[in-house]
Amino acid sequence: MQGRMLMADSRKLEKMLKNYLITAWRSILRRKVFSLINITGLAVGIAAGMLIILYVKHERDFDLFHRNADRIFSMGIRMGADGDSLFVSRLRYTDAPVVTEREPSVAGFLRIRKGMEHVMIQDPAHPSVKFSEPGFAFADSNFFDFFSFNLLQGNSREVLQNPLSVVVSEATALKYFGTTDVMGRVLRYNNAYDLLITGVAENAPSNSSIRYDFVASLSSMSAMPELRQLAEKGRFDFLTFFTGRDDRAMPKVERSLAQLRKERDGEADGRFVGIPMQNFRAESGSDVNTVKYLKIFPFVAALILLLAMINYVSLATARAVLRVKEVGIRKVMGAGRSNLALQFFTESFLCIGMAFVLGYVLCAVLQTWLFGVLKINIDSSFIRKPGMLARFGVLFVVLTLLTSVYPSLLLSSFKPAALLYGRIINGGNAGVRRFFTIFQFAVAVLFVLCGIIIQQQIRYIKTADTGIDRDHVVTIPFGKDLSRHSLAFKHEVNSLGSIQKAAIALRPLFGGYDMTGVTPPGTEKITMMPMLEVDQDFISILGLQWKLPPADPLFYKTRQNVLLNEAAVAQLSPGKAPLSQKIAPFVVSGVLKDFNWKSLQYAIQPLIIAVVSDADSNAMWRGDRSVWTGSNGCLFVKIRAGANTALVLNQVKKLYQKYEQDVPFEYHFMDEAYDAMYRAEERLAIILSGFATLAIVIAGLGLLGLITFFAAQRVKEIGIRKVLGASAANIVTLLSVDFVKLVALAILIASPLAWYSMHRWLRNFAYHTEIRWWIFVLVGMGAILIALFTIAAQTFRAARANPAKSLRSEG
Amino acid sequence: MLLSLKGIYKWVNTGINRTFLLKDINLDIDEGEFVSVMGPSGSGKSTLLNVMGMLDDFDEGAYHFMGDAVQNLKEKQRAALYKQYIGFVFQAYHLIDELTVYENIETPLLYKGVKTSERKAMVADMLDRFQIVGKKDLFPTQLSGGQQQLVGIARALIGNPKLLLADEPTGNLNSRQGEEIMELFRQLNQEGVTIIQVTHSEKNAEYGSRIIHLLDGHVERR
Repeated sequence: MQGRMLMADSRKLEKMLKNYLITAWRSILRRKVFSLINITGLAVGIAAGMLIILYVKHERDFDLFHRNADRIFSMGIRMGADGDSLFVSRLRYTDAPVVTEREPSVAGFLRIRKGMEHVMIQDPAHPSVKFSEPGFAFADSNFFDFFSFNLLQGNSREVLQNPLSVVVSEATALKYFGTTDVMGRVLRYNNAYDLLITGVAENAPSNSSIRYDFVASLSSMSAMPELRQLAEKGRFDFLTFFTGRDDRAMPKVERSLAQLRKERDGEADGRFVGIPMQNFRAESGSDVNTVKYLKIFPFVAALILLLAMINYVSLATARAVLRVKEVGIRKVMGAGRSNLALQFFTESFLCIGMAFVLGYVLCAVLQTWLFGVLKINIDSSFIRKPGMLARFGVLFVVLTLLTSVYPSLLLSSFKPAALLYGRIINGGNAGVRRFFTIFQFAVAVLFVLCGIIIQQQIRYIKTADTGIDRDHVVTIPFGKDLSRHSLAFKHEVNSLGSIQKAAIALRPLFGGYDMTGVTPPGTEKITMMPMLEVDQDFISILGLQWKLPPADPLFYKTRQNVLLNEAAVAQLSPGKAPLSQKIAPFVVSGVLKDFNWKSLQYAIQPLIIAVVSDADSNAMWRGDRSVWTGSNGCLFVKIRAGANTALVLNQVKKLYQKYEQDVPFEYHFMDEAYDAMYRAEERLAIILSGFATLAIVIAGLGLLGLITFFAAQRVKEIGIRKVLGASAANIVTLLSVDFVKLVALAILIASPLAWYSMHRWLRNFAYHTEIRWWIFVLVGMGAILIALFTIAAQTFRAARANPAKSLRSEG
Repeated sequence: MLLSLKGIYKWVNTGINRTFLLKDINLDIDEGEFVSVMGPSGSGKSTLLNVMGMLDDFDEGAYHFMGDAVQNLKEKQRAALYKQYIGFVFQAYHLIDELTVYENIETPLLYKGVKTSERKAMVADMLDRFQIVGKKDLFPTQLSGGQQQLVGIARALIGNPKLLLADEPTGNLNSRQGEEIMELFRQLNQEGVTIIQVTHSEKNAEYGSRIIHLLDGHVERR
């Protein structure tokens, strides 16, 4: 009996819902423009929110998608004293096995050896299929078991068992063979060894620090004499990961390694430091700022979503004015409050559902473009992952509840008699609406202000005098073969007509530096100092300025002679005449004015510049330095202003290829390398400007809803005023002043917030722009103008309405 | 007796003054009556109708509807009462613009929870009776005023009310359409529906079996 009743109830509800959906759909269609504004507004907000959720989830999960990621850590060694130390994130070949044997809390380990240099890989069956590969690594046989990278072919425990076996990524397989069905095929390593393909792996996801094109078995190294030495010499050359049995394993491993080092090397310098997997990216890469700004984005996304939601609610309740009649009729026809609440809830659900689908589509379509603009790398498949969809689902439910409950309750609460007999509904929620408007504009103004100030900082950075003339300077990294002929190459490039000058350095500027130990005068202690190794043309090609030029212009003929920057002088021998000071093992022969050799985020740090003479440089650039420093040296080229850059570079390329066949010709414009240091800031600026625009649009829409509501409420008042002789201009002013007040209040709230947050942000930079007062005035005026423009149409319509109509008495 | 009003007062306070909308209304209406309420603008006709229809409260007095003391009922019970026994017809028709003729008539049955098959039969019956079957898929805006009011009446009658309250049902119609509606009322009354209508027109008032004149919120005796 009860079951039957339930059945009947559910069928009744079903019929009811169907009726509600029909009404909702027709009412959406009836007010096309309104619905379009409302749904698109929300959809855009949702898309923005989704994109940010996607981005944040992607970044948060960085390196954490591996099984047991919370118990994986890598180990490195910090050498030198605190403050000026050098961190090497690698261990020696034999370290991990010994520690694992000694330390019961270690469940497993993995060693990866990835050289800095490119290797040549060739398909022996088609000799012309030959590429220089940067992504080649040797790894212990448990690589695919230790990390959760999926194998398309091959068994994760077996693929790397034998020497001279290799697993290739999907992309690599396609690149060499045009198919992923490549098991059993052979690839030739550095023209010498044939590696058997034993597995094909999915490409590493975009949120993995560990990337690979080729993973060869570590045991292959013992089959290659030149690499066998590496293992035997005991260099810190192996990226080593451990899995702990619990979360206390890391300090134990640190201690165990220190003990091991003591046993082997006696009292050697260095402290072992573990890096949990979640910090691996920040410690190993240069993306520190991206990680830092990651915290801002969820906040921004929440604000944008909140804006869109407020807007939706605001418009939905504004429309309530138009729906009151229907509510009245339905109540008289027998609808209970719950019926009506459910009806409006269904409507809301339908609208939000549509906005959500539209938002998802927008998000899916725009992500490639947007992430491209932002120079963020996120796999496009990420948006379809179950984890993401689950999050979007939660977002949908929360959104529906938050945006639907209030309008539903509000609309269903109206009393029928009042509605049907045209009595004015007193908008008890006018205060809420005012608050909404203030909030929306405050957020918009905040975003705009922050966006502008960040842009100004970026412009400041780009135009600041860093003491380096970056214009028309190109750097060209050498391959191993070319490094043996670097001098000849330099002279040949120099003789090209469009080249103003060429210089050689060990590394490109803004692309790393070396550390060297020196003993300042009067001390015994060794201080670690950054050092650049360059040739004598380096100083003039970058326009570096002398503070104290060397007495002997040919100072570099003597090997010990080095140059310091002012910061180094201040640190090493303050108060003394620097020239000819001995800072063992060097002698100071000149001082350069400070220049920003690192990001403007940092104050200029001490720097030693070792100028190497041509005679020495042959010995300098040649040999196996690359194994240790990761660089074969590079050429700085200054192209004459007005020369055809593409043509010049092509000429240089031809010269390059004369000496170097294996490593492809590469070049970087120095101003681009400089800008690249501020990519995270630029990204922040782009995102903020995008959101600022969005916030303005949404706030504008919200204002439109508000003015519609207020104009409708004040129709009678306006009518009376007109009958009493008010002009249209009077009415427009009357209506506008109210809104200008709201927007002004929003500006007053947003300005100090923007000032404070930007003041703090700018403090991250040792060199930064000033926040200027007129920005606030300008943005404030802009906001008021936008507000006036938005409400103009409605206020004019209200002001020009015929009072006879609005004052007609209701029967 | 269908309903009885005893000493009904309704007022609004404006500042220190109290304005009476209804003043000492005493009225008994039997089942099967056709009552016309007349009076100048602001005399309280519509207010009285709303009180009788339980859409509006009153401040003093006793109102019995089919034996229930309305003043003692909670809002929900009152709503349940008028939903079951009263149908409303309005001057401005008050149809739902988003719904077709069929759906407008059907809606009260949905709220009542009438079964699908039964509902279909009832609506079909009503459409047939008012000869608007051909218009069932049209929306209100596609109909003339007279036709809209027919739909409004059909909708009011679908729940088989004992009492039909009509607030100037012909006010927005031309004289021919108005006459048709009044004829329909007379017919309905003869079929047993009690009708109370508010009207300005002497001619329409004559259709009723009893006329009540209101002035400044109280019943005027003639």
